[in-house]
Amino acid sequence: MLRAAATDSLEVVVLARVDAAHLVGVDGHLVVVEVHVANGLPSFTVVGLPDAAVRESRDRVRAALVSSGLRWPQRRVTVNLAPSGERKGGPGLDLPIAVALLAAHGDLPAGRLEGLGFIGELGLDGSVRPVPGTIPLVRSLAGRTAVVPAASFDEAAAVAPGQVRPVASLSDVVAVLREGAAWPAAPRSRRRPAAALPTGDLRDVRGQHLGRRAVEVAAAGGHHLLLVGPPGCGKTMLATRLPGLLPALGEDQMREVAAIWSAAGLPLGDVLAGRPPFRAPHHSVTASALIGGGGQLRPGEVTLAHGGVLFLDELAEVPAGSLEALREPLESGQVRLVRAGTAATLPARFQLVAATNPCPCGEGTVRGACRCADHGRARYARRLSAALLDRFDLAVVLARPDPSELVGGPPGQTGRGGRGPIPEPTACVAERVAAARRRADRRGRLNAHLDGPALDQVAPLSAGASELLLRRVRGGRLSGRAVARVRAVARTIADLAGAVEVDEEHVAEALALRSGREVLAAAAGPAGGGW
Amino acid sequence: MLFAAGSLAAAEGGVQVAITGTRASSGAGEELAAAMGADLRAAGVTVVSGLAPGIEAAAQRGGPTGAPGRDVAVVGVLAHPAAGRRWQQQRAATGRGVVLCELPPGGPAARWRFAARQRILVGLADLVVVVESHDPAVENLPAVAAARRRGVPLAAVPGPQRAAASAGTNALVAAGHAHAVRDAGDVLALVGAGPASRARTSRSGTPAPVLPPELARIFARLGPAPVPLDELAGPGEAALGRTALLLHRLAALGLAVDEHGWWRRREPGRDRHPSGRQTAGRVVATAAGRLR
Repeated sequence: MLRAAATDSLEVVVLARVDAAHLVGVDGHLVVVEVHVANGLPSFTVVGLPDAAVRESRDRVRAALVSSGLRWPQRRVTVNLAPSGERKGGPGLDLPIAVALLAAHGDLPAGRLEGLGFIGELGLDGSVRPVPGTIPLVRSLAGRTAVVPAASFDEAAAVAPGQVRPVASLSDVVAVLREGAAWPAAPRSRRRPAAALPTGDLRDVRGQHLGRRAVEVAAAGGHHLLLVGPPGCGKTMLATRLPGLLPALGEDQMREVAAIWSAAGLPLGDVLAGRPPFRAPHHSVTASALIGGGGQLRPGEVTLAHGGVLFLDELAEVPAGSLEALREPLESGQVRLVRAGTAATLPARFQLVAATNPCPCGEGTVRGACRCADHGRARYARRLSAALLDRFDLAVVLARPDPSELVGGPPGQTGRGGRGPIPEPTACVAERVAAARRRADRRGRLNAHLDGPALDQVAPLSAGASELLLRRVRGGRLSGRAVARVRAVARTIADLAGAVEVDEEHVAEALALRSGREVLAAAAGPAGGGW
Repeated sequence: MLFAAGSLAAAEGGVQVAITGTRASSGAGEELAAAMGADLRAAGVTVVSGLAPGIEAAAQRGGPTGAPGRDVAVVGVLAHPAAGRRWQQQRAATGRGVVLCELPPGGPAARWRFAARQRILVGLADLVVVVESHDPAVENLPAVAAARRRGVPLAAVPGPQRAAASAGTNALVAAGHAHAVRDAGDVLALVGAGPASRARTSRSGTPAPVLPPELARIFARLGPAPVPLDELAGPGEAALGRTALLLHRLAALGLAVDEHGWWRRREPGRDRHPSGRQTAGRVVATAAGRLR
């Protein structure tokens, strides 16, 4: 759009508008870049709450125009970013500002800008560079043809095939819009074929049958999983095997996850291949790194793990603030971040897998083996609040594996002395998981999300099963809330076995798969526990 | 100078045996200490101990009121820990126990006080029994050092060679510092008091129950120390659910106990019957089970 009007015989006012977008949280918001060129002392002002990166774009735009052999107007230039009440950040507005400026002083035909939206950062040589968040940005330009950096073309085309155009430099844009050239061809796809499972095969985990089973049940039911055990018993090894058991992301979910990862500027190869995210931040993670935050409301680890697994190793060493901040997203599946100027709701439906030692020395799962002072032990266990532990449907205690299982022959052979079967590989277990998930899908949701009324409907208990649960409740070992969680896990175990009714065997196994909570609760209890 | 709460008569006359050991005790160790304490008391021996959590607490967990016998507790700080205070009040009120302390009530807890009180404990005792101890460097145990300095005889309960909580007691026996004892009967024989046969009642053992073969196989694999489920189920994941179910059945029959998800045999003297009924066994020990 271009309007030139002689409001006064001496002053020429020129105005151009270009559609663009900026990132808030993991969503793109539409921005209209308006450039006003008037007579007066040469100046360049950006208004509309720009952040530092946007203010600096003046110098990048000027250098890019000059290196591309285009004119820099020696007049009074005002750039407005509408809506002007919203804080805008990031370098992705460089390209739209440059295009609007060119249109405003007549180097581009304004009529050609209708129906186009621009995204991209400019290099001083006039090249167009990729920016984080291409997917959500393109999405917010729905209905327009998005002009994106060539390097981001794959990413953008994954969500909006057919309505994105790649450009490698500002000259490309000028060639198309002024000289009527065709849009540059899409760069050759650099998407690598999905690599082999990066997280290892379940076959490598020797012994740890209860732990292996817990990982399988967690994958099948989407239950949060806590692994408790001494150092070196294989907690981390087991946890990293979980993503390999999860089914591939569905088409819709893949788009959703891809948008989040794109907003965070992370490589999309694995996500576009349908692999569920696996995030494993170090235990020193701060609350805002975990939940999200910063001026631009960057997504945190819980959001990056959306649709996949968040693994927290050494859970008791994670700062208390970060741990407690986890509770809300665990419950609601989203994070509502609010800052003075902006607010964003980020999706955060992830599966939490955590590992912890039972006490500072790590040997506390076996009574009598622990060398910690009793108050040190209690303090360690109390770092995990009961409210947080409540979220774990599965909590298993791992012992160090039997040495004879560790030194068994290479994969494919039976362990030394013919001890036991070969550990099942990921592929075998994943098949069972997929079948169990299909059963859950027919009921409409993951078993981890089943609650009271739904359980009565989908997880009817056999007489023996309810008898077993009742005995446990009467013995004071199980609360009402815990009964519901045991039933949900028992439903998953029944699904894995292909059973319609939840049998007492399934309940007994579900009870065994949550016993780790009792170990931590006992350690956190009154010092000594004897009085 | 010693401060005392309760009846000083409890600390006078008769044979006095000190029971001590680690705070980080195993279930089996506590069980043994509790049985030894109860049996010694029943045989008329005064049990001297320090009320510390773990072995010492177990040894004096004798039931608050109806329990026979006499106790002397030597503590570092009066009324510490908070839970031990209850015991002190109850025991002192019956006239059968006394709590002794070197320092006036109300002083702050400090590590050295707990080590220092061992010398009083040893001074009162005719025999010092160490039930469990982690440290194979036996000189590090204040009670052992004090007993050897004063020439008070020592006894220790040996344990499995690989059990961390028995490393210290095994070392004591191996070095010849201590007599090896298994239970109250051995202790009574050492101090030459009471009819040993009476005290041996606690080793009655569980009569082998008649069980279906599947249950019997699992029951046979249970011992006094808790074992994880996957060890009982054997290799592979297939048998986990079935084994868990059988263990719950054994528990319902009163034959197995689930200790934080690990399983062991139920000890009639130590555990309450799941139905709430009291089975054969001493009233004292059953009450002790309820206290924990």
